[in-house]
Amino acid sequence: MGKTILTAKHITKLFPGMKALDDVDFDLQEGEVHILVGENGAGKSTLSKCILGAYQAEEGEIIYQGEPVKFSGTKDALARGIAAVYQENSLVPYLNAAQNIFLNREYRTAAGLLDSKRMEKEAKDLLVSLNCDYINIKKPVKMLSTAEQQMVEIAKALSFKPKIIVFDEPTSSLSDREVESLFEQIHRMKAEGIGIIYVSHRMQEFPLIGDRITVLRDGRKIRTVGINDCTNEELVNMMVGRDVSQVYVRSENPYKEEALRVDNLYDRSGRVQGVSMVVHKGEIVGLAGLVGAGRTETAETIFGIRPMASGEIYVYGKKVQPKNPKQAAKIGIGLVSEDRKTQGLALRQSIAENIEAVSWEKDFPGFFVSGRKVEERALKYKDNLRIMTTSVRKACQYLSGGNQQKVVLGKWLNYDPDILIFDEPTRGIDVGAKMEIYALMDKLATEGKAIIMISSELPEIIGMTDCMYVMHEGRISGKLDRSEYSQERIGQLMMIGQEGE
Amino acid sequence: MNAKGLFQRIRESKVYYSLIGLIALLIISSVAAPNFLSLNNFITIFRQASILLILSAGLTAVLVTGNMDLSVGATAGLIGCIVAQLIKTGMNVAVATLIGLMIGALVGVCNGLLAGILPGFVATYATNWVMTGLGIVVMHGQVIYDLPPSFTQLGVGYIGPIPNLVIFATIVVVIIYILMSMTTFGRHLYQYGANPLAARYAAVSVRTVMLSAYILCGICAGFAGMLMTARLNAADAAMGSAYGMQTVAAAVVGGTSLAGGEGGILGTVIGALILTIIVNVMNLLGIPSYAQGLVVGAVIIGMVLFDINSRIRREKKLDA
Amino acid sequence: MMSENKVLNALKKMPPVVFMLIALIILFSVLNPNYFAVNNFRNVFIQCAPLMVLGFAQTLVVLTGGTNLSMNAVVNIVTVLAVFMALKGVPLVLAMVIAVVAAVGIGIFTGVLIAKGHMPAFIATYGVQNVFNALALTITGGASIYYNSDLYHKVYSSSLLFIPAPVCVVIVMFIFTWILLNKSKLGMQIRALGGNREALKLAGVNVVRSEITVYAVAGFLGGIAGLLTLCRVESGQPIVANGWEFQSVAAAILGGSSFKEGKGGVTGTIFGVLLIQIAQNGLNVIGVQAIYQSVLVGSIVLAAIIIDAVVRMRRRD
Repeated sequence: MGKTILTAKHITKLFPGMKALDDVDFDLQEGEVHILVGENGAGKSTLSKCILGAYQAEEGEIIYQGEPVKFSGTKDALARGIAAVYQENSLVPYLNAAQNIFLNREYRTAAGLLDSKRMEKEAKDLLVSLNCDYINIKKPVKMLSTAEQQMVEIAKALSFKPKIIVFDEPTSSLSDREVESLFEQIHRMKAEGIGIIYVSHRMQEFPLIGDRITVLRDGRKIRTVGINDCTNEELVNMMVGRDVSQVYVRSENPYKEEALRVDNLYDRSGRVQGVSMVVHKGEIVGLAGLVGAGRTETAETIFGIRPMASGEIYVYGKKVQPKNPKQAAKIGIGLVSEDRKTQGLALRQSIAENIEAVSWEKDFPGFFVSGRKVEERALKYKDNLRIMTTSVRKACQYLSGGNQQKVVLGKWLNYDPDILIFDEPTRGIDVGAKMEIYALMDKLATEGKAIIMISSELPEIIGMTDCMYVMHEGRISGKLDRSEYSQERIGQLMMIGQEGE
Repeated sequence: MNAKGLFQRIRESKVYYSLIGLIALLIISSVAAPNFLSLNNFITIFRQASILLILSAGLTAVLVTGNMDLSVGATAGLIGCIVAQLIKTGMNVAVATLIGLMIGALVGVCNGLLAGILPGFVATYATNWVMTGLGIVVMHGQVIYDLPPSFTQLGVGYIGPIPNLVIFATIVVVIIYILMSMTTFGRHLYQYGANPLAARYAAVSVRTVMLSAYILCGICAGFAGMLMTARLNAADAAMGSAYGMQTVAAAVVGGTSLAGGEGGILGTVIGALILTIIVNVMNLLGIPSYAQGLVVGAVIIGMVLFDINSRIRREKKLDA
Repeated sequence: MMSENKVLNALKKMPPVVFMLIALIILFSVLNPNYFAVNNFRNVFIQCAPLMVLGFAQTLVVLTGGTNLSMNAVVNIVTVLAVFMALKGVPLVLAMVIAVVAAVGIGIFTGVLIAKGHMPAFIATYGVQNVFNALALTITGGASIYYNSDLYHKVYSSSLLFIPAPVCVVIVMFIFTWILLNKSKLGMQIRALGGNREALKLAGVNVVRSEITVYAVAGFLGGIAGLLTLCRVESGQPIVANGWEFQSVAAAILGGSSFKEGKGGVTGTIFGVLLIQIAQNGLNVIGVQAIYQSVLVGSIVLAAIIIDAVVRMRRRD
């Protein structure tokens, strides 16, 4: 391992009314991947933003390449060699890869016009060095796949010839194959001596790329440990600050009745091809598969958002054909959708309004709404789900990811459908909230709901489900009972669509 | 509730900034024009404001869903013309009025369907064009005068000291206020405006919501158009055109966001009053109508600037 | 085979408005054999010159996610201001230059309201429209004002290599905006303003300044459109351009530009403007009664907008 390129000492960052960072130390070495973990609000992004120059810390100092620095902004930090690959797409959709990479650093010809040839050539070189020369450099990036866009982002960061790159949840929208090639690139950067700060929730990734892990909690640094010096369980304990020996809870299922049967379901776009599955009352059924395997599409077809081409759906023995979500909800099917910020919540509306979102007509069949009742109901779910907020009148945009997800759950609990589909219910939320959501799912199943759980995190889907269907390229590639679960079997069904020898 | 509590509630209410603007305008007006502060003048202001009020109340329902309707003025004009023609052919006033309202609803349906596939702004600009053209066709390029009193009475009559127009406007405003803030229909409007995709995932029938907002708006436009004709005792194809953008301005000055999900009728009432009062005062001061746009434009800019930036400041405080 | 595919692909990439334009021309030629005359097309191009330039300006604004409803006021005030100053003794050419500078000033003012004042472009530019339309009317006292000069006619009727001067101006302005949009830093920023403002901020661009610049450029183009209009009407006309503010938006949208994502460009706008202009001109040439013209042009534009949206939706599938 090389020498230290960045040291942050005693960093304290104040936000009005709270200490976002409290006396945090951090250091990064050349050719190292240093992982930052912690629950939401623990201070990971605040720390990385202080290093990136987006925030200025009130106290403490940052020593970069041997001398203390104070960056005036991201541009300043970037000029000195600290770049970032952001979680949210930072590309301009209708500019091409070269134009995006050189945004605001455009080469110009003698006449003052853009030197497209030179920019395209350099962009091409960068992409070639990333093994991504298949990316069309003249197409607007909007036309590229998510993974290709991510590669363009990385190329953009590399074009600054940085000494340090900060990755903020880079894999959250990538498929496993794409994650693999991203890690390949990270290893390559490591080899070149670039220091990498890697912010992530996905613990299964850590051993694949990390060297050291720093755990933050409530704005304080808990510990920095070597990647092999600590088990996942210990990590989680450090993050939440309490013992979490029992992460997944799954009770016995007292029911036998068939709640949902899907027969040979096809959607019109060809993303769902002949899916059949059965979910019993009180059961949690997993729907596993790679990103793009058709899991979300299956859920959306059942929920009536995607037009169904053929197939049959039975709810408690009765044939149904939901043409839109409203009909699906009437039948008793609810979908906790994948993307809570765009699909799950109206961020500018209050917690109370969001909890009522599905149920206005059900709760107020007399057409007139009682504001008091809306609030009472919201308060009930605030308590039951432990939504951390001062008031249910607060807009959802001010809540943390975990609390937002609880509001989405509250919305469906309030409507009380018999069948609930959870699409990536714990994506991007911290460990504490995850555990609460697992407990809630278990409770719901015990109360007699039929649950489908879609997840990309194998440990979670293995821990929480009674049986599982694995999807591969729009088809069900296999069904496994809980007794048959193994990472290998599931993995094979996911990757190649059948079990190996 | 004590006085302090009431003040607190007003401060937190969404129309607070527009209200400040209105009060400031009232003060300035009474200083600038000595004859401004009189009961008669206030009745005049309300009468002058009523058609704008009816139009912008309907439009607010559409704006809250995050859509736009640029065609309300032209729709009103067209329906005013059609109803006038129908009455001229000897049709019963009540029947003609009913037909007018139905045409308004129909226009709403068209706009609503179009807004499903196009940005509402572009779609309704085009329907605005068509409607204006249809108005010319309906009138054969001419103007109609002398409508029967049973019809014109709607626009020029009084009940006691209060003009009929003001009563109609009040009824419309109250109905839409109740619809928007006290019913499930209203909640769906706001929900859709705040995030259409989330509304769809929340099992709201989004097409119905959008369509009904446009229909409500169309009916209001139809009603306003007939009152326009009744008040003028004449019908002219161009009479609605000035209202198109003014209606939008009234709602926005009243704090309704063009992005959807925010705003309401109370604000729109304030906005419509502000726009009417400025014109009223300038008329009192004898400023020629062609120059009035200077002040109208400046007030629109000033009010919206004030409203938006105060909100941004307030939100920043909340965020912290 | 290959080339056939290429042609087909190229056709598929064309904005749908091109085909509607062709259909419209064919329709008019069938209805009136005299329609398809060179002279007629020459007239169409000359007539729509100011709207074309406004269309380019509007396209830039639309790409940033805004609309500029003050474009008509800019044209109005430029014609009035130039004539007014000329009447006060300023040489006409100088008066014209000053008027264009004033137009840029209005653009900057508008941009400041939107970028620094956080106002929605729609309502800010409507306010600006009110102010400057009223100003133009106030200057002229509500009527038109005249200053005699043969300069107007000289500019408007001369031609360069058989191309009428107004069309030359349009071509120059097209090249200017095209280069601006595709070959300059500002062009990248325009697409980013509409497509991903955050990315622009992260790249260290002063987004307030770049947004103001866009409105300033729109003001400049509005000034040029104003001069073209002045040379055509040969007077200061305070309401001559009313309606163009929306027509230019419609043209930009028809041409494939979008309020979202910074998608589109000025090339399509040409066809959008032509569609509106050819519809108006064609109905005249085939002799449709005046009272039916407005509703028919409106319907053609409405139909074009609907077809355009439907075709684009299909293509995305």
